[in-house]
Amino acid sequence: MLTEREYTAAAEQYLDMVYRIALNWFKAPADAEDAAQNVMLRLWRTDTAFQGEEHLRRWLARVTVNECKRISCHPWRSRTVSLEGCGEPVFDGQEQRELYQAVMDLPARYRVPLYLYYYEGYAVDEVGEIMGLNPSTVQTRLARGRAKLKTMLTEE
Amino acid sequence: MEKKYQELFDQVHASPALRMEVLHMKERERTGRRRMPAAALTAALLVAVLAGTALAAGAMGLVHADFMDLGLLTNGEHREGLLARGEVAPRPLSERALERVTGKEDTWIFDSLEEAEDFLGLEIASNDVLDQMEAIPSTVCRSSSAETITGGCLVDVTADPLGGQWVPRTLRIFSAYMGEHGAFFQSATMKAAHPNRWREEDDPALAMPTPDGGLEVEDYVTPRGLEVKIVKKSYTHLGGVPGDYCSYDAFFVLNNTFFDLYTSAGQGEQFYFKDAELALAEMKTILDGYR
Repeated sequence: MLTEREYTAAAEQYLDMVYRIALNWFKAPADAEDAAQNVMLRLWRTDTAFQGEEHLRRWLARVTVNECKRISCHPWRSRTVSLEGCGEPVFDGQEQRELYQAVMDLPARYRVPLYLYYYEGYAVDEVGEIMGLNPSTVQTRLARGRAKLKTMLTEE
Repeated sequence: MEKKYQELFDQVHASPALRMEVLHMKERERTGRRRMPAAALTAALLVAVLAGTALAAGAMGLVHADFMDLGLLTNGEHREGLLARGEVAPRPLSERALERVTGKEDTWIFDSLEEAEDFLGLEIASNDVLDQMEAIPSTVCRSSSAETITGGCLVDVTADPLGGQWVPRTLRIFSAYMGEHGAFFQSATMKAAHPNRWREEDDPALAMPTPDGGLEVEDYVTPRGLEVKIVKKSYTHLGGVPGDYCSYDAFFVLNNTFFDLYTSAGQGEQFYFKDAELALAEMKTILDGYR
């Protein structure tokens, strides 16, 4: 188990990453925060012996994806309607607002791979390992997500 | 575009409320008091926060919940709703069911509710109307591996570690049925009896944030005297699509089991009924069959 100091450091370092992965999964900030809370609790309780910082980071990314899948499939989850516009991130410029909207308008299956690849810097095979997908599937989703985003931004 | 994408998410952060919640997690007992899913956590906090909500044994209650005050809320916005809670006593399980509990969470698959009851060594309740209906597959996700599981009857089991063994805490039994005009989903939650059981006070509960169309509650008593709370949730939008949608949850306690009989109505394949009044009428017919 992590010491209290280790947990605090990890929470401060990676909470945003966990939240962003969940936000890309759910779109709704409230659901993303629920998932992030569950993931951090798992971190607090896990007896995994982390072999370095990267091991911890990847563990958190994988657990976040798994937690999102678990919540998505739960019967109660499918009966909850997210209130649109509740607690959306606030951006300074119109361009960023439009980009955020375009990203969130992408199909869910593209959003998380794009985030893990372009923001967290994971390689294709690492994204596959985190999400439980074949590297070729990840490649396809990245390519389609990129193309779709470019099209959406060009059309505006 | 990649640079703009990175700059975009540089500005996306978890809320201060979540950050505080996560960092204060260290102050809670790390082992033993396993964190419950959000809905049940709401129940535990409400017990501590609200006075005068004690239920009679076997009773079922609806309590107003303010999710912000309970520290479950995000982004500083208030979300209110209802918490359905049922007071139940633990129920003993068969030896083979106890032996099968080998982890924190698991989902057991059975061909039918009867097979599940036989294995667990208990009967949750009889229902003459459901017995006549066609049982259809239920689908849940296994919590430990996030794989989707489908089966005639699914049992979600939670347990706590103690001295090298796993002490079962709750069981939730899912089954689904096709009625004349639509489908129903039954969830039956119970506490597992065990000499080393922790936290006797954990009653099954379900939290329901108020949807955009509002919440309505109907008290319904069946001809057999079963007291039911029927909660109707109405939506004016679903996934950005405007329309009239609703769902019904019928909560009651029977045989020390917390039941939630559920259905939904709206235009679209994801709903179990097209007509809300018909859904409610068929639901009450089923409720009348519980004994």
